[in-house]
Amino acid sequence: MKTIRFSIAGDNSLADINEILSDQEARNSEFLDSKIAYQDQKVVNLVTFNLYDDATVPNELILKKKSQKPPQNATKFWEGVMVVSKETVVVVAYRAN
Amino acid sequence: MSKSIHLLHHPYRRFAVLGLSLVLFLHGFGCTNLRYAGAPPPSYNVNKDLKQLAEQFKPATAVSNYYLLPNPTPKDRDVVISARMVMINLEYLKWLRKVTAEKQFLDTATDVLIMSLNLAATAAGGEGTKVVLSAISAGVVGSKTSIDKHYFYEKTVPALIAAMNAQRKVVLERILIGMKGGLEDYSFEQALSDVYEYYQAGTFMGAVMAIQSDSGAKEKKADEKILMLTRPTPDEKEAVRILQPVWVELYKDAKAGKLTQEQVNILRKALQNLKVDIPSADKEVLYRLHGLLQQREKTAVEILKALRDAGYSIP
Repeated sequence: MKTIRFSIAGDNSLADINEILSDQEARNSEFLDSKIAYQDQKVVNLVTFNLYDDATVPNELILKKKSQKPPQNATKFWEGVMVVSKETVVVVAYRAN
Repeated sequence: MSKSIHLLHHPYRRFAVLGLSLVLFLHGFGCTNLRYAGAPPPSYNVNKDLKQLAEQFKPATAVSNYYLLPNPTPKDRDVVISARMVMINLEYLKWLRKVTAEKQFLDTATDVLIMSLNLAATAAGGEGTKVVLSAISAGVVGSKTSIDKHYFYEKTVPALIAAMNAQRKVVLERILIGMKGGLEDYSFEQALSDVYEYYQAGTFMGAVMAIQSDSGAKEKKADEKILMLTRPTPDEKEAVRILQPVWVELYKDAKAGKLTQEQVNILRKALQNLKVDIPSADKEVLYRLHGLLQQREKTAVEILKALRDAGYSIP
């Protein structure tokens, strides 16, 4: 499995982060996890993707704050802290079934 | 006794009122319901009080005053740095209460704050100041008992806070050891520098840096170039969408061993158009072009154009 890491600025909203991750997934990648890191004097989300060696696009990615109601017909596959709108937020990632 | 009374008039009167209000506030905190699903409410909420505390301690002025002293003593040094540490600790605890409900971390920070208040009381001297500082200290102690509920929080934040507390402790120990020495052993400037470092150790970024530098599992290698992703433009999203059936078709043919030489030549030409290195093996050409998109070496718009210019029929 080949993986790649990107960073996402911590001033993005959760919706923006979801869109950014989904865009990368549309490039035949699969979001795996995110960790808080420090890059260029900024706190960022360091996100890891699995790169498919074919044209696979994973099912829809749905990010929710832990305090929010989980989406229906979706399976949780990751939970962790992200920097969202400059604040630390517990985020849960779901994959549409 | 008369000295104590005198001190409570000027300039300590305002400070006494402030301290009393802070204690009353902290007392009230114990009766406050927890808001965020078990996390403590924003607590202190003492921005105004902190401002007044800042005025009282006047750290900047104290620095300038220090240099006006003809023969500064270690005690003069300690007055300034201990006052600053009180301010830093108050702010740290205030911030900590916003980001975590972990009692152990709050307790640690509270204990350090109490210690620094006592330290400031000792350094500042004067009965009035001592009374007020002790009152605040008691208030802080009282507030601890109200934080009994634990709230689940993800591992990362506690890890960061643990790193902050650990880093703060390291610098704090250095300051405490320094304060035992004379000015020749621990200069005022060095003390100020350490206090600044103490502040830095209690910041989110400071913790991240500490974790990154200390942790065996570094998340980012020094030489690793990490690209920052941003929201895709409509053109880019559209190009990704148009390219998807192209990849499906190409991989379908490639996995069936049916990728024609004509297709390979088009892919090579596309890579040439994109001005990137071209693999010699035919079977690697598709992976190379696809990799440019996946790894963001080229934009989807550029890849789409290169393919079209190379003669690939894309609707």
